[in-house]
Amino acid sequence: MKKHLPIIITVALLIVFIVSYLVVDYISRSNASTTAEIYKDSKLIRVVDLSKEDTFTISNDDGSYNVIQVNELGEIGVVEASCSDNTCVHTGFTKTPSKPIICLPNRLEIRIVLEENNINEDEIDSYAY
Amino acid sequence: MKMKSTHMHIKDITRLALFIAIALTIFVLESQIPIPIAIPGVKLGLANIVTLYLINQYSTKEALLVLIVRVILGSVFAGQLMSFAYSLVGGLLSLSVMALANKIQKGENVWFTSILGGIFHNVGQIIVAIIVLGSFNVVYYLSVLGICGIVTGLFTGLIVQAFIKSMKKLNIH
Repeated sequence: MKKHLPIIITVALLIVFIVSYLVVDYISRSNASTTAEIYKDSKLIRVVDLSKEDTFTISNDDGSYNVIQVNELGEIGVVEASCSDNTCVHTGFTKTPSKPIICLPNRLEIRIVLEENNINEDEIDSYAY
Repeated sequence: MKMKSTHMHIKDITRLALFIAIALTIFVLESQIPIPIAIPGVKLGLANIVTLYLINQYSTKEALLVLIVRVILGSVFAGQLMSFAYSLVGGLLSLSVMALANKIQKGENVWFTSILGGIFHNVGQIIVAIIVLGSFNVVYYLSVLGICGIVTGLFTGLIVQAFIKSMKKLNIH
């Protein structure tokens, strides 16, 4: 028994870490009552609930459009757009206020609004190195 | 008359310099490995190979010396100022724990000592992250880095064990 003590301790630590990760992840997920606001021409046109998966399109009279999606992780992003550079698509998905998604040609902005009680794992706005 | 040697053997100096160079190389190379954690400057801790080998085969003092010099030079070469604090605290904490574990186990079970070192290397980094970022939420990463520490600890531990074996075969000690 004593000979196997190192293995036992290692396995125990492993279990502790895995369990604590699952617990923290579950807590942060159930607290994720965030919403996103979609602005067109700086006017709020839609509020999106990030706890529901969804895909919808914002289109304009001149034919330009952005296809916006909320994935199962509670993140929002532009998956398809009519603009020529597609910067908004390349920005990927976001769920933090520090990373908004902007489509300049279509004058679209997606902003995340946080309620309190969120475990903010990403408090860093930018890296300078 | 007691002869106290205040000079280091050329052999010791050479060995220390060699291990500093090895640790530095490992450190610079592992800086290139992208870590999926949002904290900048966090490292895997592969340079613990050198620390552990010195603790196990030579002395904690030598390991400490090599560690400090390597961390100073490493922050110069690898370029990030942030990683200096992470490396230092992580390395010191890991060294202390490994020295203790090595002593308790009388030099056996190197892989287990290494795992402990790996875990505490990352614990040290998280402590620095909490202080630097001023955010206690970074504790969230403790579980991820804990698992990571166990894995890298095991990896480095096995490498050290293999290294010890081959060094013994060559009769260099």
